[in-house]
Amino acid sequence: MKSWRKRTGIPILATAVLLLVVAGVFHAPLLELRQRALPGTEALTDAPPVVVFTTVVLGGFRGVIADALWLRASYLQEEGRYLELVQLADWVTKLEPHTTDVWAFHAWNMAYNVSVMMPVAEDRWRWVQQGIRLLRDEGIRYNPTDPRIYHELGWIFQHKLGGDSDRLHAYYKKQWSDYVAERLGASGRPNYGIFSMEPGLRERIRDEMGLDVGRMQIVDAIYGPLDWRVPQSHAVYWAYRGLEVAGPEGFLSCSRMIYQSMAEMFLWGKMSWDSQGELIMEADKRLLPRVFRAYEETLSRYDDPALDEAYINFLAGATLVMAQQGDTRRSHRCFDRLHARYPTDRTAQGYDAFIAAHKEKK
Amino acid sequence: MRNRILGIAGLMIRQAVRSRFVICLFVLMLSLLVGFALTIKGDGTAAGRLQMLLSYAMGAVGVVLGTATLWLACGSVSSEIENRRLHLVLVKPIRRMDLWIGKWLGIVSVAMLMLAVAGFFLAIAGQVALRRTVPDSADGRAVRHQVLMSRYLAESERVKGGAGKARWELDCPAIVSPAPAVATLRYRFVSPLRDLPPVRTHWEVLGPDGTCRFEADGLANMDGVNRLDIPVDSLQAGERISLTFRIRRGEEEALHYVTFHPNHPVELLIPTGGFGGNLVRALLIVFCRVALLAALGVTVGTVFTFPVAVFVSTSMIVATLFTQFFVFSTAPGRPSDHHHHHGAPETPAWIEKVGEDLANGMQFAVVPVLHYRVRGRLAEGVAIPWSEVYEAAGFLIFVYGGVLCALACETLRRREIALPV
Amino acid sequence: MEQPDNGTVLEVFQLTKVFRDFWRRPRVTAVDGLDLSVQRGEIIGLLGPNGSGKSTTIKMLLGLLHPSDGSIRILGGRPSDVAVRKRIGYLPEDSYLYRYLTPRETLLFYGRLFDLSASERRQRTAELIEMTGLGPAADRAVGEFSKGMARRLGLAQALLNAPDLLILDEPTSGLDPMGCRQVKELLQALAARGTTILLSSHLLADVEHVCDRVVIMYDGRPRAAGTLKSLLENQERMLVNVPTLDAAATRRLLDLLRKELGCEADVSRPSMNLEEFFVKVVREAKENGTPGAAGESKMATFLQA
Repeated sequence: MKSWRKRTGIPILATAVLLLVVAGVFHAPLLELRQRALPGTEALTDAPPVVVFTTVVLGGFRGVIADALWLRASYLQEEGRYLELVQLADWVTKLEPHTTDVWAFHAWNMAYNVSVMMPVAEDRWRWVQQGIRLLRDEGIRYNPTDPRIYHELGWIFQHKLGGDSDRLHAYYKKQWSDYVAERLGASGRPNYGIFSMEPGLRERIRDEMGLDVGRMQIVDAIYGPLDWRVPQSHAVYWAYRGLEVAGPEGFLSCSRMIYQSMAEMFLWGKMSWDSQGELIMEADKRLLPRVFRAYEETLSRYDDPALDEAYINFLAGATLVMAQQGDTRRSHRCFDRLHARYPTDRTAQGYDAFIAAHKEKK
Repeated sequence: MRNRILGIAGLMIRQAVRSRFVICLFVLMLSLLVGFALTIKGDGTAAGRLQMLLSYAMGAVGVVLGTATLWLACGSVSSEIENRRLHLVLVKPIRRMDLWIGKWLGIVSVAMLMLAVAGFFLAIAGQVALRRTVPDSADGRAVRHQVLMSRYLAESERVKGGAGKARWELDCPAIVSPAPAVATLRYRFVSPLRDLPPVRTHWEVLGPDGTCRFEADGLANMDGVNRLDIPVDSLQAGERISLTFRIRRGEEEALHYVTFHPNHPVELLIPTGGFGGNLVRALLIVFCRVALLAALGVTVGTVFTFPVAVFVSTSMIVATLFTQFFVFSTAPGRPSDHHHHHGAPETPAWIEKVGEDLANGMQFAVVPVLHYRVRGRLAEGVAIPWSEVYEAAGFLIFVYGGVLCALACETLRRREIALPV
Repeated sequence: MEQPDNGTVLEVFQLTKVFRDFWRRPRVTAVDGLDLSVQRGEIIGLLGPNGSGKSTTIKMLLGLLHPSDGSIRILGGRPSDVAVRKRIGYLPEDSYLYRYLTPRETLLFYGRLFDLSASERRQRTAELIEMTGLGPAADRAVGEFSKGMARRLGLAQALLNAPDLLILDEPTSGLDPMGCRQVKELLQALAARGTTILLSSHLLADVEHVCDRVVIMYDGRPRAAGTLKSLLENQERMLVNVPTLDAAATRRLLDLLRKELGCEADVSRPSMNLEEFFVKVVREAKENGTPGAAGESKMATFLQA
């Protein structure tokens, strides 16, 4: 034994040292190669210890496991067994925490695909909320600097809650409105002065709605007065947050989300409920100047002809809608802006001719 | 003979306890269960959380216990051959079968103990969920009637229903629990589009003589699974009842016809007993599977050394799990159009034939092993009948176990134990 | 079995064992054409240097190895018969005991394997523990034992079934001289009561003291066999044993031998070997009341029958 050690011990030690040195030399360039080829595989630094531990231990296998869980999720969904989806989505996203598409997919899947499978309205609403929570409470935490994740979250507010594509959109609007009213007051207009006085309120808003009061106030000042019961207000808020992290070059999807949501709120964003509990949506006319501002800000920031077309469509549409609603003053303001910025033969003939031409077309 | 088997089994248990195997396994299992109980999210309802806890905990316990058992079993004989302790045992007047059965019995006793711990934990988890929900809330009712229940799953048979009506017949089980338990009807439609408006439905439950026992109007979603609670008073044990369905015509633009989902037949879940019994039966079936793994490990361990035995038995399990995929690819009735291709080089027919025979053979051999699945049913409160427990015990323990035991005895008879390894 | 005790306990004819490698090619011939016949009550020793085939022979007798050629008839049956193994006691060359068990548990366990009733198991266990002097360590795990203690326990388990045939592989290895002596005395006592004993050893002193007959093996073949007397007696010389004489008497005796018989003779004192001396010293010390490590033990009652 002893002689064996003597004869082989030193060479083995030498080889080990040599291998370690070689590995050390190659480590840095390999790491760099890897990060270039596979973005999002760098070690986590801001995650809870369990997640960090799992991702480090699993190494490259975590992708395989995430795929397997994802396959299971798809299979269960096909089978109509939705129970595990929240859990699986949680695990899959945590295994690939820096891949925004994974977060986006699972949130969208729960809010859009699973929710409509539920026979009961409350269940549906719960699934839409699961989608929101996944992005708001988890996704942003792991990807605080990726504007896309803010955009995905805003989209659920703007489209799923704010739009009318879902048969039960009115139910969602009512639930959300009640939820917000309970926390920010019945009018949906927070009294910003109160936050500094009432301890814990700021934290409650943050924990239960994901909103930062300071930023709310800024968003309100730029685009408001916003009724936070209206889902689009939140779309604006999250898009604003996205632009915050996007840097000087901006992020068109978020900018677009802001002006679209503003336009929607202007046209039919004032919610009320009649005695039967039916939802009534009316124009929130106060917002008109803020809508102009949202569009024009975007136009000045990005060089995209499609944006001009969007603005033209809005101004023309708003002119007509305001006219229909008998608000000639605002109708005129929209028309004037249209003619000033985008003069054409149609606008050159003046406001009355523009309205008449449209009525004829109809 | 009993003496010898019990002696060897007792030794196995003692070794497992004193080598801290049991305590390690116990800690591992308990931390898994507690971990699940603390972290599982569910779908946001207490019933959903409990269902997931049951399903995941059963799955995890099955995997952990199965792996540990296999590991213990693989070493039980192989390591004693290696360290020659078996020399002193085999020169005693025991039959090889006594040795095999003794080892197996010792291992499965440990597994049984662990399953009992898991069962106790899950029973407590169920009680906690029950206590935490408001009894009269929707969630509380779901926990009580949908999860913590043993419900017979009556599959229906579609029969002629007459104009504008669909009709099914089904048999009630021999026992129907009394109220407040409720039966639940589950059905799905094929939806041509996403999120169509709901259908106005009318369901009737008819006794064997055709009298209407229960009727209900309601709305049914075109997507997803629809549920309808049916009071148990309208069902009587052992009889054959009918269900009829029609659409109530409304003035709105709702659909005037629906198609029931062909792959998800109309099912009636009829309460027959409590959760405890179902949990015990589920655990017993898990036990049968673990017992089979123990048998496999002991037998493979008589042929190979410990590391090789672990590798071989694990590979066998993986291969078994993969046969599920073979089964799909060689299922009869699937159009095999490779005979009609021309020009492209083809695999010779005999190779395909041999491959297919091999896959079919494996399928024949392993399908019963994969057949007994319980965790989904336990979590959904669907009854696991005693007959299935007996069948699983018969197949997994006596048939497969017997074959493995015979193999091991033959190996031990032929093998020269004292040969240097 | 079918032929009851006719005196021949073990009959081995042309026993051969060839170890083969993975490809079934012969590698080593461990035992080569061994013939052996053992009568009831005999103590027979297998002698030989390491690797001479002693252990291989024993393992074939026990069915742990299968002979490549030749036949074994043991207690009237084959080594694999359960009924035969019921009557055999075996002590392997290394005590392969379960480390987690205590001596008591070990003996109870093997007692179960012999299918002894619960009361028999308890009684025999207690007696054997006392007899082998393991009493103070009866409830300690075997894993902590010294080699000698493990050896005692190994011997105890070999005696559990009051065997008709006791097969011992290196029985005294690892034992202290007192232990050796105790074992040898025990073996002689057992043989006197009709137990047949086959032991292997390379410690010639063991064999010399207890064996009636020896087979000396080398390289797998028996090289010499017979009773110890016939093998060791020097046929050319004799020893005259008388009480110590003074110098004059000695001279007269030598003169007488030379004159009367015409043969040269010399005189020396017979000496004890070291083992005998050691045992004598320890026994005297014990008689003077100093308790020793291993007590004088009396034979277990169930072995006396």
